Amino acid sequence: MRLLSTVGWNVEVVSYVIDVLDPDEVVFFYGFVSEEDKKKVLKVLKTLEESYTIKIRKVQVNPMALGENFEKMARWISDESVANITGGTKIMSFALALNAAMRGIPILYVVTEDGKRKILRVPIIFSEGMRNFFRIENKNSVAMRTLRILVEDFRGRARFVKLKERLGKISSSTVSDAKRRLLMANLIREEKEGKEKIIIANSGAYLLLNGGDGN
Amino acid sequence: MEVMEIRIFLSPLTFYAYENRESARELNREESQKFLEGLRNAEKYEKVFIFSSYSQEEFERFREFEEILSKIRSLNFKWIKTDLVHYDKTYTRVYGIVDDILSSWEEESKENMEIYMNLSCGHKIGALALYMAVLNLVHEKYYGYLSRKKGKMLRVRPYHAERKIVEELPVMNFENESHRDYERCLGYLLKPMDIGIFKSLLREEEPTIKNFGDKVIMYLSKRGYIYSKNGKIGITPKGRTLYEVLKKIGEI
Repeated sequence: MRLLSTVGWNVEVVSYVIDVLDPDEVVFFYGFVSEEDKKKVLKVLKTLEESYTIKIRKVQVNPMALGENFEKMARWISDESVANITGGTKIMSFALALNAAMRGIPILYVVTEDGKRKILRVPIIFSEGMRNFFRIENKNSVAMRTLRILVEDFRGRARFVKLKERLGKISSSTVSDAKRRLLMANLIREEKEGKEKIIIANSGAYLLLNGGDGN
Repeated sequence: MEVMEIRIFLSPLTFYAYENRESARELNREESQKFLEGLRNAEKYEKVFIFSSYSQEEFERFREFEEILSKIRSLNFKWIKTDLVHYDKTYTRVYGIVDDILSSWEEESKENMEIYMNLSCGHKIGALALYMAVLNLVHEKYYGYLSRKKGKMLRVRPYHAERKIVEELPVMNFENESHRDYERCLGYLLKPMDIGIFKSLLREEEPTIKNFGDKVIMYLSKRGYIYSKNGKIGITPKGRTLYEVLKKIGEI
């Protein structure tokens, strides 16, 4: 079992889960926004490293950048993983929770009730049902291709006409429909630069493009 | 004719009352700032809904929240008490409240509806529950409006706003359910067994529930916790991990 854990200022919300689950290895996702923050987080990491003999990996993430974290954390998720989202910033916890929900692995958090610590589960899992703006598992759908081209070829920002060109021989109405669906899913946003329409990838785009790949 | 829009703003909110007053004050100032940033990102809104573990009166003790309180008093707002450190409790509370809002909008309004969700404040588990409850609700009961298939439109904008950085979150369909009574059956499959034997074991266990075995198999297969091959059924690495976790945290 590989425990993936976001780490912040509190040792106990991480160590308690390690003690209960007794995993084979742990991956700590940590980050800081200030010098004071850095001191506290590094102290917590040091305490954790000194307390356990199991395999520990430390992965520094940006506590304020959701898209970047979606990409970084997805690499560590496998079918044997479990996520503890109690520590760290909201952005870190959200990134880990949504990545875990995409892969269907257990998501846990620590709560204190009547003075006693308890591990609870967040029972979310991505639904591949019909009620989605497009089929995410269909990697060749126009919406998924648009997203991939936008992120991989244009680094997340492109003129709409250029995107259309890159998609090849597809009718304008089909491309517009894909764009509309991506907008509704809040995966992209549209801005105007003069007369040009610019399409920008939101953080969720990185979740979708990385959600299915683990190591 | 131009279609008008109703925009509502939802946000969790908390305060810190640590013994170290300076540290608590700093966190409260940050919380207040994040709330105001979230509010600014929504630009204009007809009604504000605040979800908090504490009452409005309790917030009045802190000078750091003066600006927020004076601002919201000038708005159409509703203060909703909920246990933000507890996912299930917040989820249920938010789901019910937002369902009431949307069902009266569905019946009585001709305007489009926009839900702006600020996820930067409050306890992170409560913020996650707010996000998931709204996503689930709109996909389950109001998908026709969300997908623009019905006359008026429903739009959801979840985001995190802090230090002038606005991070947009996706609007996707997540299921929020777990069947512990199904998941505990993974224990039978630690060694692969014949499908017929598995079903008969489940029939013995739950004789009163019709097609219990089929329901369990469907649920566990759909989530990738079990596999079936040549008439045998077994547990996958993902299923084994879930089973181990549930046992260790005492859920089964």
